[in-house]
Amino acid sequence: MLTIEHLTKCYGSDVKAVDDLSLTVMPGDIYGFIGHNGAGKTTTLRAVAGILSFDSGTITVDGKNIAKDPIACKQEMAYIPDNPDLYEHLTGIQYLNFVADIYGVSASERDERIKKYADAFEMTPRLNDLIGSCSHGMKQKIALISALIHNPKLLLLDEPFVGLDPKAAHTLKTYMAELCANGSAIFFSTHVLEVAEKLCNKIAIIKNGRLLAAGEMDKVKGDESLETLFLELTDNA
Amino acid sequence: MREFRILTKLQLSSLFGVNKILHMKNAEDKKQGKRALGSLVAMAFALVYMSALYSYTMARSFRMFGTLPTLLGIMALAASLLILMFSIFETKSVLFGFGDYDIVMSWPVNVRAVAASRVLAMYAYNFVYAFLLLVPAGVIYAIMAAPPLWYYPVYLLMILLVPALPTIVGAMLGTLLTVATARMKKSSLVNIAAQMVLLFALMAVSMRSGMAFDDPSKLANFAEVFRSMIGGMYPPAQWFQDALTLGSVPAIIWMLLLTIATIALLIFWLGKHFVSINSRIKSKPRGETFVMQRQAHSSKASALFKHEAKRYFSSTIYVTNTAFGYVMMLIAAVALLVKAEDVGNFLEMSDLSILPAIIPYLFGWMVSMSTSTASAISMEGKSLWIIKGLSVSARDWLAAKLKVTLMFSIPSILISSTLVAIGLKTSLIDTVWAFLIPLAYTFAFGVFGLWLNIRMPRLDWQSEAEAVKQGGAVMISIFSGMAAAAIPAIVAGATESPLVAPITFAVLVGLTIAMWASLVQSGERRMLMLH
Repeated sequence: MLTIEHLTKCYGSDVKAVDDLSLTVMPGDIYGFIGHNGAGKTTTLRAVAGILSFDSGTITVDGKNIAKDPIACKQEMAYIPDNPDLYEHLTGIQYLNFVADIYGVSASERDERIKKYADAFEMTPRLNDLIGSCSHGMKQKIALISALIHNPKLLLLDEPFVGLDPKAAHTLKTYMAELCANGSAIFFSTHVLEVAEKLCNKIAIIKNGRLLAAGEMDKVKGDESLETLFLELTDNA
Repeated sequence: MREFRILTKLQLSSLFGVNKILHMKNAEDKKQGKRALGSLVAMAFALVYMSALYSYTMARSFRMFGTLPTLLGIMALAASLLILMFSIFETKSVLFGFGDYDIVMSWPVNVRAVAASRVLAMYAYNFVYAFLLLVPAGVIYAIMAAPPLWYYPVYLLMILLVPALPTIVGAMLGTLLTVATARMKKSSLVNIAAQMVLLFALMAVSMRSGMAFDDPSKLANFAEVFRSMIGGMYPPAQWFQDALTLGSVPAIIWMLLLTIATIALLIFWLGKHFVSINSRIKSKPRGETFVMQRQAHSSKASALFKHEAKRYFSSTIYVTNTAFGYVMMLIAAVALLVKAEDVGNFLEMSDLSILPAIIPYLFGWMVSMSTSTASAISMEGKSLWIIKGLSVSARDWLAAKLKVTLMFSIPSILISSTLVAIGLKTSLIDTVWAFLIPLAYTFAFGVFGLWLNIRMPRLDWQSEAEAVKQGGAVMISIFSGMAAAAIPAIVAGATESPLVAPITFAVLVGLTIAMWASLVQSGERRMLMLH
């Protein structure tokens, strides 16, 4: 579903935010991406989402090259940043309809999905409120509903659990599992190692832009906890 | 005082984006930043030059009638009115509801210091207008009148005081408007309408004062007529003139006292109500409880356009800064329909036959300064990630922004040109150009605005005023429009050649096609570079 090959992104002439990073996300994968602050997680996610140019390497989404065919790639995926600044002048329902129109979601499908996800995230009664009047968590929920509205094949999430209440976090985990069970894939960054350990079938650890470990969760961590492995790798690298 | 100094430094660091440009690390960003800064400096020089030319022309006329000091009063009046108008527009976004409100107010700083730093930021921006209008006028007066040495220090003091009063009065009026409309459901639209009414009331007052010259008997004493006009409209402009030309100490004291008193009053009042006003603005009314119903379905292009239109109307400062030209055009057209001869007299034109040749360029200038595209990309601000992440091509995105400009300009042009054609009874060919030339300008400057803004975006703003008013793209677009309309208008007026209109039209159409092709070709790459 997603192949990243030798991705390198530099800021300025000497700072490599991402350095020769390669990994593959298969359909059905929930792929966790962990690392310190400034390790290069967000840069990688933004490059994959097609909103940040990169210096070298190749990113393909469902066989399409993000640099050469960004629109076709974006049609298949959805991205939510760590701090989603949404259009504050729109109401929640206006924003969801806008995103659905862009992805060409049919009227019946959008009605069904908005109802399903808005009910699940307990947002339905508040969809007429201006986004500007919503709390951080409510904005996060609207962003998540908008990401799920076109049933993406690849979901990119940057710290998706930050700001969500426990019930919403649980709902999100349920839908992440459901999406992947239906053949989609999720690539997401997180600092919550317990969540990554329980939710992901694959994991990648990044430090200073370089991948320290990547692959199936059980093989990468062996008998250790993810926390122990993460600390060992990042302290010794 | 320390808090005020620190907060003011923070505020001024965002002025014109200079601090950001100075600290850019990425070579490409740095290059773009330097280009934007260079354009701003070049623009400032061009404006000073134009202002100097204007002052010089007026100074020569005033000297002929022995009223050279009037130059200073007139320019102080013009600067003050301009600043008053902009201050009313800016108040909502600069003084209140700014992006970093929560973090600033969480610091252990006095509310009055926060309010004062915001007012000073408005003053600093407005000082640029005062500088552009009053420095050339002051220098030209000094050259022509050779005043005594005390003129120079008094001049420095007075030029600092001139922008303060209209800034404060504008901030007060803007605050009243903001407070009154904050809880309304369509607060942005009500605010826009109220600001327009206020603006035209101001224009009406200034026009009425200009009518002092209707009475020919008064022409014998120009100095007295001007004095009563300036003093009647705005006494501080008269004090400015008297302080500099007569060395009037009472005028200086009045100016000082009034400025200090109004500043103190505003800061004291804002200190008391700053938090409650901001809370009122920020606590947006809750919508009615949503009940899931069948949702409307639009095409991608239609969804983008609707979104752009909603964004446009959601910002008072965006609308008031861009719709002004269309309103001016419509008013001019109505005036020409109803009282063409009076307009000719007002413009000191004895022969009205030249008007049909000039009007298309005048309308072209008005629509070029009204284009919303020069700040449309900047207005995306921190939400830019949404459009970059969606399956939207740069072409579709930019076309939606262009359509918002055209949505207003095309009907305004069609109405205005029809009124002019009827009012001036233009020939068939003049009528055709009265429609085609302004239409060519709106397309050309709509595309030019996008072309500039994608190269010089201002996305890191805390208040919308920074995007709408302080961007290099906006400045360049406005003044390029002025030049692009003035040149053919002068040539058409001077030569009366029938070739000026078709050549101008062809050049504008050619440039539009070339710029749009360039945008489509490099749009994806440039869109990706935006951050």
